[in-house]
Amino acid sequence: MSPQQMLDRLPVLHFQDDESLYRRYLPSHFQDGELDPGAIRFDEPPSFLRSAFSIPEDALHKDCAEGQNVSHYGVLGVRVSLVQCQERVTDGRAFEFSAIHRPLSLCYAHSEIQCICLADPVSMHTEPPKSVKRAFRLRLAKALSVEIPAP
Amino acid sequence: MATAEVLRHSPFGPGNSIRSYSAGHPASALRAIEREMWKSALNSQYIRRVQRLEILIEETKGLSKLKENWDSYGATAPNDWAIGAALRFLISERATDLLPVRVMPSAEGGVALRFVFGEKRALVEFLNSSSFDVMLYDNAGKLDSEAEEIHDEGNILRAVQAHLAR
Repeated sequence: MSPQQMLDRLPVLHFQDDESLYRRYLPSHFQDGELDPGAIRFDEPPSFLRSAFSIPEDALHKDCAEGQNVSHYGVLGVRVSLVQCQERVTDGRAFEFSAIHRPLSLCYAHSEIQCICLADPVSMHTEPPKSVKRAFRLRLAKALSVEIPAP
Repeated sequence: MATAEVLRHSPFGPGNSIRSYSAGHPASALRAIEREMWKSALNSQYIRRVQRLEILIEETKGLSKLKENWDSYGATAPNDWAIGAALRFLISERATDLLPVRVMPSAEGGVALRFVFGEKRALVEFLNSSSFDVMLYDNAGKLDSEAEEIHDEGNILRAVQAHLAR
């Protein structure tokens, strides 16, 4: 079955706490039951699929992978409540991580984890400082678990 | 250093036969002892470490063949600086007991070296931006703030060693 298309639907802003987010992974980045924190980048908001409009298998469908064959990947999942957090740096600035729904025409469930500096009046994703990025990458790596093992 | 080269400089290598130290013993017995010592040398931890280092170096060089978007989420392939810095770091580890369990591309763009020792973990990333990042943490997900103090590439090895030994 193909992933849900956007059609004429709008993004749904609210995420339920028990909703999950799915993401593909390469077997080389998941060893001994642990995701390597280096597997996720934060210079751009990382992509996920939200479970309200998808199943884990959708992450392996070409419509949710920009037409690529991703059959050799596995799928990880994480509860939304585990990624919503704030990290503070020594100068007092706080950075908030949250899931946002960014539907694509062929992949309505497409979402991202956005990092916003709370002192910044323009609420756009910003690459967090190193200390914040380390803390969040580790938090995410620990929270993600295997939904579909890589072949 | 190639394994053969290591053995050439070893006291048990072909140029340093123990026969010269053992005049008066039957030749067959000496040959048997020498064979055992060769086996022992080949199995030694040092040799295994050198062999492992060679594999890690080859794996690092192999990352130059990686294509853009290797993770299907738009990650850039490691560039020459990142691969070169990772190789320099690996070679600097030659004299230590410290070797990564894995070399892999970093989603941030670059090369990542992962270290595991008991409950301790370290991730060293040499990034395409000609910079590096170090994460020192444990299996429970607790970060070691020591990484904040690493501003020089030359200090990475010492910091990783100290963290893993703690």
